Amino acid sequence: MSTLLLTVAVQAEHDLVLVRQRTRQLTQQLGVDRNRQTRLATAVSEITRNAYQYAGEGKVEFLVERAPAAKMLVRIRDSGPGVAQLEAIMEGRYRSTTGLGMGLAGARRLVDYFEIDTKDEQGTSVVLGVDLPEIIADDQELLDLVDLLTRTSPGNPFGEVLQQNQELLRTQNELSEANRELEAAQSAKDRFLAMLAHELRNLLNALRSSMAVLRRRPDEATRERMENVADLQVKHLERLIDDLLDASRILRGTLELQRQPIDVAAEIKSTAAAWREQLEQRGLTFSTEVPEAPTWVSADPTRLAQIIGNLISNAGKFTDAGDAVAIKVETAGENALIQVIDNGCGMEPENLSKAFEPFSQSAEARRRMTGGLGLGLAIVKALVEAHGGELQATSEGTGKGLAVSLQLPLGEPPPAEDGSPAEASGQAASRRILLVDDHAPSIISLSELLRLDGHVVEVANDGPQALEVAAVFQPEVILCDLGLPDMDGNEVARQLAKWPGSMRLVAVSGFVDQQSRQEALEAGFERVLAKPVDFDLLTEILTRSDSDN
Amino acid sequence: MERIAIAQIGDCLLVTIQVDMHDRLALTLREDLGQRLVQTQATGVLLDISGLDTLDTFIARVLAGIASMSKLLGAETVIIGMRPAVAMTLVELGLTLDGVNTALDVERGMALLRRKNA
Repeated sequence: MSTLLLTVAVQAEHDLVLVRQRTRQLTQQLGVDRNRQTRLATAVSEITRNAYQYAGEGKVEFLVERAPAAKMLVRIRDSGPGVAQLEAIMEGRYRSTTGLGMGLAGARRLVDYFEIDTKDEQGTSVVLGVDLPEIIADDQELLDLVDLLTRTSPGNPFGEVLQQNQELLRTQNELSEANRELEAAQSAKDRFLAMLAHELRNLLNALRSSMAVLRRRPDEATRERMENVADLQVKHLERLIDDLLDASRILRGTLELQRQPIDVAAEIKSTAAAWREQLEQRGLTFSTEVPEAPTWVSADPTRLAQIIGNLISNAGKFTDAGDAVAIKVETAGENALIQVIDNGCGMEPENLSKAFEPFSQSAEARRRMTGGLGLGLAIVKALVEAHGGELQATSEGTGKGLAVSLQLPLGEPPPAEDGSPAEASGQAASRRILLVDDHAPSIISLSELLRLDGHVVEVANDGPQALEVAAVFQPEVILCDLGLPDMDGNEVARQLAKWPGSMRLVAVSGFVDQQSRQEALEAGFERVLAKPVDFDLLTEILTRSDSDN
Repeated sequence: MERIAIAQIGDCLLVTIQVDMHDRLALTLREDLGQRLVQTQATGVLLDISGLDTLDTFIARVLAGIASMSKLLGAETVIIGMRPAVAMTLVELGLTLDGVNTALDVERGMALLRRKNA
């Protein structure tokens, strides 16, 4: 007589695991030693897999038999096609085409009791049994056992370990993802440094050779050409540094905008005019489609010019003679829509998102050796977003051009002005100027320039010297570097502020951010200029009479 | 999707099978391991099966398959931590896992790999 302990239906692959677990748990509870637990579980696994594989599903019953001897039996039943060539299989003569022939014969070797009943097209039933070391006292004990098993819900510890395994796996995936990102960032940085070095070297090279030419005292025309070359290099260098600083501000999130109402249509007309000659010289057709009526947005004028300039410059880089670049402005709902469209080399759609990442340069950009640091579009995107706008690039693929569209929220027009701003006098009056800088080359060239413009110039290399000279020279304007040794520019300004009389203080610095600007203004400077000093701006400042302040 | 974790230690991939694998999980492991071998160009694979208390012919064949695949991909496989009961059962089933190296624990497994790859 036998007692049915448990039935497990096998309908999915996972159930095979459950059947193995149950076999283990039951044999363990019934006092079967470890070796025989493993053997029975393995045999049950073989037969159950056969049932699942050949019949698609099956049923596994766990029973205990008390007489004549105590046994645990596992009956695996399916209603599949039955086992053909049973004798051959059991005698070990059969070689399964699926490589599974060992199952039945192997299972029989592993157990104490084996019985198989198979009928063609009516299914198979296999009973596997193991002798039990102890007699199970009564049904109550058995029922308690099953109760215990079913309360430890199917494979609970299994589930837990599986869970841990999944967590481990997730952590591992996150780690390797982070690692990949780091590697990508690292190689982007390496590429960037290589590019920066390349750019700087080119600039220096051009500067050095133009200087060499100048030293040989060439004729007027050559001199002018060389000076233009040098000028261009300096402008280029300035742009590189501006880009780098912008990128750094963007990365640190310290970008500041001085917003005011701007007519974006007019702005684009003038930017386009500035670019037209350069683009047309390269054989490009350049067209603009801009409404006559003003399109007001609230933007930082310098930044807006930078955005548009960058987009046009970019279109210019990736087009060839014969191609066309068009810029359009229209109103779209609540936004001003600005589009820069070219029919140049374009890019594959999947690369579009990368185009706006800092330091990323497409293979095409590297091939064209366009120069630059791969920062332009990244800066544009950040600037547009800082203005609350949106930037999108679309391309239908390589060779099919690129369209960049930019939406900026429409803004209020400026309040009506009464009267035009005072015109600058144009002619710089001679001023007494004190230059304070510890960088000798800066001081020499700037003082020379100022003297050429008719000013009277004295120089000082540090703070104390500046105060000394100022006491005697009584300058009208002091141009003071902020980063001086010992006594810095701000301290100089604070000292000077205690003096009677009206000296104008203008700060010059190689590193200007909002904070240092603020500190300088508090120390008494009326303006802070970034190095290299824009000479036109300086002239304008010097031209202003004291009463303008 | 369930997966068995594969960790990299130097030139080796360490696979610790902590759970009773269902068949597809074993096959997935074989695929994942193949991909990782190509990616990492590892020269050794340590398969820790100390967590397995049943190893039937299917799983055993998958493990043997992993070993031969790894070999083709330039890596030696060492199965470590096989329980005595599992070993005996395998013998009785008539599976000898030819061509698969075995070692008692991770340390010995690593040492065996170093010797093999020396």
